[in-house]
Amino acid sequence: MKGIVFTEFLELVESKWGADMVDDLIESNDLESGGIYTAVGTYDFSEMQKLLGTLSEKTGIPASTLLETYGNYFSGHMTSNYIQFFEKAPNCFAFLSSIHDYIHVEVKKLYPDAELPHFASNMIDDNTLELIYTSSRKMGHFAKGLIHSSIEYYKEDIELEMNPLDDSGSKVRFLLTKNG
Amino acid sequence: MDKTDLISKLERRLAREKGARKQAEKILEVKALELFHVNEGLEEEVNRRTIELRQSEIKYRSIIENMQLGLLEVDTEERIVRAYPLFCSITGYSEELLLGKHAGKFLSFDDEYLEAAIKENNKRLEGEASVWEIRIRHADGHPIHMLVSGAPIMNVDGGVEGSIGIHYDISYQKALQEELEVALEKAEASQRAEKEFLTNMSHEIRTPLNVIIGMTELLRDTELNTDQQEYLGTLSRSADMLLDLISDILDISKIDAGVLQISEANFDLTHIMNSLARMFEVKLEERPISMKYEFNYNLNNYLIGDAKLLNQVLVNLLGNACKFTESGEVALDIHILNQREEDIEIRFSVSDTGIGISPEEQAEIFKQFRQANRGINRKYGGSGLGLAISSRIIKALGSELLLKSIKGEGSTFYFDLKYRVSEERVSGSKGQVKVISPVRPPKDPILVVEDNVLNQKYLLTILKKWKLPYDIAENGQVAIDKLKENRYSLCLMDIQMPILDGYKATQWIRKSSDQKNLIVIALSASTLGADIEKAGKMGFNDFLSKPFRPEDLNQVLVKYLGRGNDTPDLFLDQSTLDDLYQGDEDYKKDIFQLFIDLVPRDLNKISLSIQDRKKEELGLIAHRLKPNFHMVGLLEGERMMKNLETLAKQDGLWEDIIAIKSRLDELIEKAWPQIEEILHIK
Repeated sequence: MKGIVFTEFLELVESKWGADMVDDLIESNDLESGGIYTAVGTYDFSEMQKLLGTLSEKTGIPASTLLETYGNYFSGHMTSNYIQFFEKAPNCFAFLSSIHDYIHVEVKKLYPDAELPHFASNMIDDNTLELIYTSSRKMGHFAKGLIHSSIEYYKEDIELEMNPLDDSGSKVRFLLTKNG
Repeated sequence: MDKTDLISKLERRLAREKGARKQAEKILEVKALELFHVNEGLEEEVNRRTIELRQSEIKYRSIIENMQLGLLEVDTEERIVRAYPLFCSITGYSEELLLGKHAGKFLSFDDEYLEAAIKENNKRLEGEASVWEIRIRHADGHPIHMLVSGAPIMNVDGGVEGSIGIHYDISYQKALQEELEVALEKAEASQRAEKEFLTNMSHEIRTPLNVIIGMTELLRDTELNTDQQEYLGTLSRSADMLLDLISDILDISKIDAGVLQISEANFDLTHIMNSLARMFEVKLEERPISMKYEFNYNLNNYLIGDAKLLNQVLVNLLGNACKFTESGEVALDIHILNQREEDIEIRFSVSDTGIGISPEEQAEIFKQFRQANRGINRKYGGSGLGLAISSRIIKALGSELLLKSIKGEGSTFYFDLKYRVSEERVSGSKGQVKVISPVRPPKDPILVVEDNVLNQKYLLTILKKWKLPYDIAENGQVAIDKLKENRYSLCLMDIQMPILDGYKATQWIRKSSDQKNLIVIALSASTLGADIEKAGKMGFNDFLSKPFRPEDLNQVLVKYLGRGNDTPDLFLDQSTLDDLYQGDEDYKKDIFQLFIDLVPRDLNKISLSIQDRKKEELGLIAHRLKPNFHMVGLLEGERMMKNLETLAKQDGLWEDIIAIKSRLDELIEKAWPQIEEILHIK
């Protein structure tokens, strides 16, 4: 997993729960990286799981909620550094549909070793978009947060529904319905 | 919080950040190196591609320059930006001279081409390529005829930045084209001349032949002694042979000159076949050969095509079959290959059980003037043209004359023809018996317009014989003069005459004379198809084709002047009767009664002897009957009896005997009432 995911996560933690919490999370776990993350680096996904798990314990907030919050937070990084992808799409549905075929393809060009989820999009009708998220990292809630922020960015009146397609959480269905 | 704790926390954080920074730097360095290598690779690639491109450009440029194509490049204003060496050498200008000049204005030979050049340039600006011709002005001033292939030069944005033209010198081809056109005209003129020659030759030859044949016919009807009859027979046969030979030669000339005209008219196939079959049946009468014809042909409609040519071929084939068969059978067959409502395909075949033709000979016989082997001419005669003509005619009709034969067993000649079927059904059979019927004498004379003295004599002799009034004009101009002075009932108009020909005279009649509706019959020596149509269009009511027999003329005159009453001619010669009976009416009646009682029986006997082909018997009966006719004053009948007797004794042709017998029967039928009347007179 790319370092950016770790660095942003720790910044979120710091801003919400303070530098001490960051320190605690790192110290509480036996991390191969030693807690040293740079955005351009690559680290093992299990470290993320550990940090998240510990945070959930310490805050009492379920991991899924934390991930959703993180997703929301992460989109800020997106809009700051990769605004061209948003500007290229005329509306929310177009943007979300372009993630798999275009955005992720560009990402892979720059970072061939990036692990990205599979995002299949399907327009059921003019007002309804279905996204199928598939990933062994099972970060569906993170995705939900990101999707939610996108809707907010485009300022559209869209309802978001999330349904797991299997028990493990590695396959999730998002249904977006436009109102009006 | 504990100070130590805080310091520891801060130290750890610092360490982590330092570590992160170092990591980042390392990663950056690696990436920088990667980039450096990629750059190097790219530079190499670019160099390589540039070299390749340059080589490619050199290659194509040299190809273009080495090809025999004059290339010229212009900008959007049509100003020359580049002239390739070959273009310069063809046009005689140097590149320096051409650069900057307006291509259309500077190079066009004349305004016509300048306009074309401007139009073409506009096409280029629209992005359109095209091929066109132009005359370019050489530096010397003379024109060069060029074929230009022009195309626009497009830039990357799809806009036109100029155009390029490949100029190819086609002066040679143009000159060739013109020469061909001249040659074609000459060839056509030549063919026209040949056609005219054939027309004239046809006329020149047929004119005297016409007279010979006609005179022969007239002679036949006169009183002839045995020697004379024999000579007449030979004369007639020779004339016929000559006519056939000349017709054949003219036909071959026609076909070879390409002026054979195939006409399309309604004809009755059954009638043609039957006529042919009967004609040859008669020819084969005294020979041990049977004529077989069975037509499984039920179509009652006319067919559309050229009956004359079909007839000609079949006559030739049947003639050959008869000629080359000693005994056995000659068969004429038609076999339907394919029949639909609108057309029909028929196989015509002529078979015989004759001498046959070997495979080597088969190749020879279709050639002109060739017969199967040298001996043929000695034994069978013939010109050797017949099959050559027939096969050419069939070819002209779109088919092929084929042959199956086994030497010593017989031959079959056959060909397939397709005809369109007319919607008209054949009207009741027309009796084709050629008989001389009396013509109703018209009120106004018949005008004969004919320049040839012999032909004049021929016509006038006939008209005199039929007791019809006539007048003569020796050419069209004389005819017109006479028409201005007198009224005529009908005009027999020769076509080819000096001073004013038949066409023009007839035109005058239809336009300017006050006898606009005068019946004009064309006497035409030409049988070239077009002339028959032309005759109709020229205002002729009908035509007679020379040479024509008295019956043909008779048919036409009866058609237009009407049939005369069966002339209440006295068949019985009064002076003879007066001499014989000298007033003794009883004696006369007795003799006449005897005639009525006995002669019919004897006439029957004559018919039987003809049927049985018994010449001696025939001769005896004729000899015996002869005086009987004299005794009733039927001198014509007496003459006919004498002819029959002579023919029988001198081994004349059955054809001739039968003809006389039938005329005799007619005569007796007409004269009978007069004979009977004698018995009723008090």
